[in-house]
Amino acid sequence: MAPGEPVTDASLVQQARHGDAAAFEMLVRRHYRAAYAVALGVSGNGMDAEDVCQDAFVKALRRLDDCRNPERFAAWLLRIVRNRAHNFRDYRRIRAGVPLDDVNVSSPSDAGRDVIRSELRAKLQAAIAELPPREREVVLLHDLEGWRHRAIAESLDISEGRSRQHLFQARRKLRELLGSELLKEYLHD
Amino acid sequence: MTEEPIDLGPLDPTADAARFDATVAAVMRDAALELRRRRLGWTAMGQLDRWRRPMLAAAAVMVLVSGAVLWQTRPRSLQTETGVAEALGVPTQLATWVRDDALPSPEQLLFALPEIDQ
Repeated sequence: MAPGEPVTDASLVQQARHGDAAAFEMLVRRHYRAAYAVALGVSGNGMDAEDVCQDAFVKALRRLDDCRNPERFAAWLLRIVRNRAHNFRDYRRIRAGVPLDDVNVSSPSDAGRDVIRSELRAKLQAAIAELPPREREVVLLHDLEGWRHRAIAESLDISEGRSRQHLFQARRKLRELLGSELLKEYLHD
Repeated sequence: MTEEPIDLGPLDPTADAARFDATVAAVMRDAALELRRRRLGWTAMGQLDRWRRPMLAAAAVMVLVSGAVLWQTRPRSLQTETGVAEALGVPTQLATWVRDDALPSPEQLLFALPEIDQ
């Protein structure tokens, strides 16, 4: 590889397989945001998404030898993240004994606890939680992580058209949710 | 369809650099054991350790096969006759001459004498 050329995922995966901590850390830094977007998309809760990401990265390292196409590490990682997030979500639901939708919809005060510090962040989080999981994942991957529809469609195993549709719906709902929230504040004032 | 993106920047887990560093550090702490295991697995000692078990298994199989072959191909009649002669206290060399109905030369007798004396 020529100097100055960005290190590929395949090369980092190969080094991490040999126990290279720096290479693994670079993979974590490079893909954390996408992993978080997927985890948040499934769980709808920021704190859970962070726990899921941490767990998923370590699990991915343990199973790194199973990654057959290291150049497609991101897609492989996100599958692990999604599975962990689903398991975590089911575990939370069983432990809490409440319907799934109730677990997903976190109030702004819940979302703002510890991790979510800013008010805006809490509002966004709550609004995102109101979306169906698939729309959440699409809007987070597109608008937070900057993925294109082709990559999203491939990752979620849906068509590009479907991805666009989900994004459109998600944005529309978010605007409604965030708009009504702002309206409430205006009326209080 | 509206294509205007929604600013989800406040949700970006990497936006707060210090916080993100702490998150990465937490992942690396959890991953330390696995990384160490992998490092050891790729050193010379690790490679030797990795081959130890199959090598031992192969050696055990070879011992079993060799033992079975030796057992099958052992000279049974000679072993029995010599065994009986030896059991009766007859020196091995003498028992061989008797069995083969061979007359030993004086030199052979001379060399065999120490054994016969015993």
